[in-house]
Amino acid sequence: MNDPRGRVLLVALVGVLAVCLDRPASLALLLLASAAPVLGRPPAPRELAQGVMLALGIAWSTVLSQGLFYSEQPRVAFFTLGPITLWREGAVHGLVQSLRFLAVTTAGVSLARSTPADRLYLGLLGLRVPFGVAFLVATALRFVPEAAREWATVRQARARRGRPVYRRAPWAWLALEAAMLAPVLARSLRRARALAESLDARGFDPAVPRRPREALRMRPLEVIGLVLAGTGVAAVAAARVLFLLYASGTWYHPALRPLYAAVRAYL
Amino acid sequence: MLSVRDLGYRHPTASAPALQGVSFDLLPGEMLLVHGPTGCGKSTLARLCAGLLQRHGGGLASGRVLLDGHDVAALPPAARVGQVAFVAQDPADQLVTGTLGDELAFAAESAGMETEAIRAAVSRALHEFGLPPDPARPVTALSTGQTQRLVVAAAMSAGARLLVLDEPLAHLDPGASEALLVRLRALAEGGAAVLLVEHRLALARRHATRELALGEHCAVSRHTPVSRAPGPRVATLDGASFHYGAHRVLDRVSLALHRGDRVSLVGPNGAGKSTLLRMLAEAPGALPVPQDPDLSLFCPTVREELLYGPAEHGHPVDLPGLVADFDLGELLDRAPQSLSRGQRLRVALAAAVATRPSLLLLDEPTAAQDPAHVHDTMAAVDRHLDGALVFATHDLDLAATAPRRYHLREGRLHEGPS
Repeated sequence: MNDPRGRVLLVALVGVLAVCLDRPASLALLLLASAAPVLGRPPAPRELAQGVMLALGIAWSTVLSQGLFYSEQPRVAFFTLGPITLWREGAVHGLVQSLRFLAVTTAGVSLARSTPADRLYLGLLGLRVPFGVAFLVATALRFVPEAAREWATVRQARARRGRPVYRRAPWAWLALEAAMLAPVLARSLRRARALAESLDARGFDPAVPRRPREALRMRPLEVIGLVLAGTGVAAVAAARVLFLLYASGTWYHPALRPLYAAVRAYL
Repeated sequence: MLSVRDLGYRHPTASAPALQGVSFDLLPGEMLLVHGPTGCGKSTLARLCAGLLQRHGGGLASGRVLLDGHDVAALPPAARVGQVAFVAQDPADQLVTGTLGDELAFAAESAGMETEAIRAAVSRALHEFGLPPDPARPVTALSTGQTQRLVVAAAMSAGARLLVLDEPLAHLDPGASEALLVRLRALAEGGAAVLLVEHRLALARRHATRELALGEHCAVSRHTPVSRAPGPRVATLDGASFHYGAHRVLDRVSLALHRGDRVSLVGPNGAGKSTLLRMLAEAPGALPVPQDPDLSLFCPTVREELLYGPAEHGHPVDLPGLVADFDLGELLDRAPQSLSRGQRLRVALAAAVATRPSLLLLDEPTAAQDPAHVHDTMAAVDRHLDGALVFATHDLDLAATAPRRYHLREGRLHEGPS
């Protein structure tokens, strides 16, 4: 998908699917699909490892917290250690929530990594997002890697002047890590001010629409792909709504039994 | 064209005005060079003339800035962009889009120019400012010098008749600086008016039609580092090369550095100076100060910043000597990030030498500083540093003060001035 409008719409579809799906296996598949653009052009091994560790950390902490504090009935204990019990239903619920979050986040990261900020800006304008909002989103995304680079520079500069951070008490380590954010924040504030002046000097007015120099054209194959994807997601959403109506006792139709079974089994 | 009368400004938290009682006229065809010591209010004047500080500063402005009889700050942005172009100090912070073409088109789009006219203006600017010809090229792929040229070109793309530039030569090599000044002079001769704030007076004076000096002139004390007996070797490059993709940046570079060496490195933008410094930074005990020294200041106060390195390594520090030589007496209990740009640079350099590196690497350490401060600061570095010093600079006067001088050209390192 080359057209940035199509990419933004695909991320939106991932968001809808993440809400409609309720089974860990389905959500894991959605997460893999969201990560495909990242894996197609993999980042540096260290970055990839950090990303995977972060994802595992999110999943593990959510599973653990939901498993420990799950209060719904009925529930089955995974294990009990003194006063602490990990509930199976809570752990599954935590897994579902974390996979939802990771699927949508990964789709956003894929979009940001694979689409230059200026193309994203054009895509948002093409989707009739107001100019000021589109510009704000594209500019914010453009400066995320910049801030990350600056943080790495601060860490390197500190490392050259002192011992490794971990060779000190945990609280001192944490305090030092927090202190190293200060120059990045100060730099970001100065940059924001300079950028605001630069925009003003170049006639930026969020209330005045601008005419993009480049007209976006979506290829027929991209249109067909988007229509198919949209139809598929709409079908899943409709099935989920019908299932919810059935499960809540609001509306039921015997002819839809196979659909209810499919939703229960796969979605 | 521009009429400035009794102009003054006090920043929101300052006790004294940054600028007061400034009056002058700037007519079409003129190129006014504004200079003065660091902190005398040059940038404040430039931002007031562009109508920006009145809108963004939050301080107290007095007096008038009139452009063809109209208050410049009261003009709506879309109208102002066709009349006033402004370029601030840090080029990278002024990039508002992601590609060369978008950057060059932004002001023209704001001014409501037709699409074809904008395309033509973009092509013309790419050519005239010596930028890469592909408008889709990301701005992040440009060198600092190219970025500086880009922001100047982008500011002018809407055809403004008043150009206000705050140290546009700070990151340019002498050749690129001369080319930009020639371009500005040509614009002035074509009917524009140029207000140029600049520290590199020797270059700028050749093209300016008038000068305006702000504040007290400082006597420029020339500092010449003393040649020292060579100590033990601290870094060696032996036939080192470096490629960015197919582009060879450094070609079989050899350099041996000993404790006590003072080495300057010059070369045009993109010649590989920063790359060479990065390779030298791999030497044990080397301490590179980031090109943006703000990113090396992470302690809550200046005092803690100066003591951090010595405390970590357990060696003594001459705090009074550092404070006196780097002129930090009033600042010890201030937060480094709250200081002015020149003060932050001095703190970063003082903290670096306090760490006692075997090799100190400075990349454009004195960009946008006035000559008096530059030489005083480098003298302080020289006095307190036992290890070797390598600094890359576009300031040929400063480079000439080093006992060992090198220049980079087409990836090769040559001894002597360029």
